[in-house]
Amino acid sequence: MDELREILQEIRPDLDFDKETSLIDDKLLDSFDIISIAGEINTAFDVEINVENLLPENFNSMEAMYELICRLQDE
Amino acid sequence: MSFLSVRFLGFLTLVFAAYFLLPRRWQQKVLLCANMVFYLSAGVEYAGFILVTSFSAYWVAIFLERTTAAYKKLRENCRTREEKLANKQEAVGKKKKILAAGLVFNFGIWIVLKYTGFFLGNVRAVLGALGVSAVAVELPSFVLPLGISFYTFMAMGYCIDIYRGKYAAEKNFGRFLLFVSFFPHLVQGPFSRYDRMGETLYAEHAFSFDRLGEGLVRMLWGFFKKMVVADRLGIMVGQLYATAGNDGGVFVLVLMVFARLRLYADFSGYMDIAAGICRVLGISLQENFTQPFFARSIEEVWRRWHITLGEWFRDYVFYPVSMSGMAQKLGKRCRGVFSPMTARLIPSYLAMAVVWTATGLWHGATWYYVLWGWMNMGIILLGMQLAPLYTKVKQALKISDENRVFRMVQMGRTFLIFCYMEMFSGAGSTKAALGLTAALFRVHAGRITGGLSAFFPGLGSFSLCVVFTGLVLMGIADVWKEKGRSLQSLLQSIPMPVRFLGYAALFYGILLLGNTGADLTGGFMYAQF
Repeated sequence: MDELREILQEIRPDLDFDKETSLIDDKLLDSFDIISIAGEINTAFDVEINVENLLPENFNSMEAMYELICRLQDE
Repeated sequence: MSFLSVRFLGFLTLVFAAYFLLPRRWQQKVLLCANMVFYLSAGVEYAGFILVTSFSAYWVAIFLERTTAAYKKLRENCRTREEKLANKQEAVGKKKKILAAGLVFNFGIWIVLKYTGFFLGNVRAVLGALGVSAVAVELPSFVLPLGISFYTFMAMGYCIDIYRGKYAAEKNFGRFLLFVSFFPHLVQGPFSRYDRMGETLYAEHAFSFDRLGEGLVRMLWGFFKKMVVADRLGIMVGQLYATAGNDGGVFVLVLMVFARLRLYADFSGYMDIAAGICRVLGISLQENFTQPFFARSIEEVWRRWHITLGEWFRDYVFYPVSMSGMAQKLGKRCRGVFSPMTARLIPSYLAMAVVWTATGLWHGATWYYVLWGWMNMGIILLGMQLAPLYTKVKQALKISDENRVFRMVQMGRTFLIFCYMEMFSGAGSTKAALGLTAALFRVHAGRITGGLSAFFPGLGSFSLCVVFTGLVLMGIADVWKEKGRSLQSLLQSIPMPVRFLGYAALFYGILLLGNTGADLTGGFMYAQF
């Protein structure tokens, strides 16, 4: 989780990822952020987030992103 | 059948009557018949195109779903991780082939009909430049079937959603055809999504006086914007395009501002009519505009203007291109060359180039529209690259993002750029657009002595008052909505007698003030796509 937090804070230092739970629904992250985050996660965690995974529920919070990573690692 | 014709109003009355008077279980059939009548009235010869696209998209979705189910069953027997991975890869490979066949076939029809002339024209130009004399044949120009740029995109969006496993495929062809050919969104959008619209499209709806009232008022508002405001501005803008280049300066400024306002009144007027029809029927139609002139950047404009087109390109072009292996690899390779922030954005930049080229070509099959798309992209990318600098300047000057004056300045700047883009796209050619751009910075005071009428050619003082009253009303409506309040609540806050007098004034206003000349059957600006 710490590694994910670091990635997120590097991309959007203005957001508090420990508190936000509606990053997509509240339009705090835009398409560019999502692509940057997905690319960084793919590299750092050796998973393959593809376009089918780019759903609001997978990116609304740091927790949700972490769950997505775990799910992809299990596959 | 134009939305602005008396014939359409008769058709609509019959549709409403049949929809609510016949048994509710027939409502889907009533709408499907209405769609067919509406489509056939545009020309029997084109009905085949929408049927072929609907039929092929329907089967592509079914095959995709069957393939997913078959491989899911096989997966149950996979024991090791490697076996599961191989199963997944095989399933993805098969599904990609099925989807590609659907996309190539349907976009192929659209591309052949819309872009053959553009493509052959470019081939001829290249051959000419290489000194090869091309055969002197006339470039073909096909008449586009009604709504092809809209129904093809909606049907293909549905297929991609099924490929992604977003929802289940529709098993009933009649229901799917009802969605694709639904007449309120067929002519110029919005680009509806099957999952968002389906629920209300297929549900049974009881008649409601409240919905009837709300729907009719919204339709009236749309007719008012189109027939009273947009068509009047159309006369003025048309004349200014012919003269502003010579007159220069303020005349070009007036042209670009009113060309944008005209398109807004025209396009959003159509959307109000379509949304009003859907409101009466009880069907939800996605909004295509959310107060675009309150946007503080061009990027934000495209999240408020023609929203469903932007969302279509985001979900079905921007995301797949930026997440593709090629784009991601390019991003990684750029890490040593650019800053980490820029390198991370390279896949998005590549996707933006594809999206804006496609958006430009969608608007018109010419390099001129491609240039227009690239200009939009350039402004957005420039804004993104300069964002850190803006932040530093704002911090140095102690300006908050929420500062009212600062927000107004941002909105004003964005509005003017957005107006310029409309003037550029409406000029007809790159040469004419560049001529007008140069004229914008040229002061020619000669005709300013001609008074107000010189700036608003073709409009008498009465028409001018009508247009400005209409624009002020549109402004009030947008300010109200921007504050998060519904127009319905604004109307409800007005005492009933005054409210009904207002509706009557709107109705008779359209009858008396509507531009009922040649433009009445001229249709909407976006219907040409």
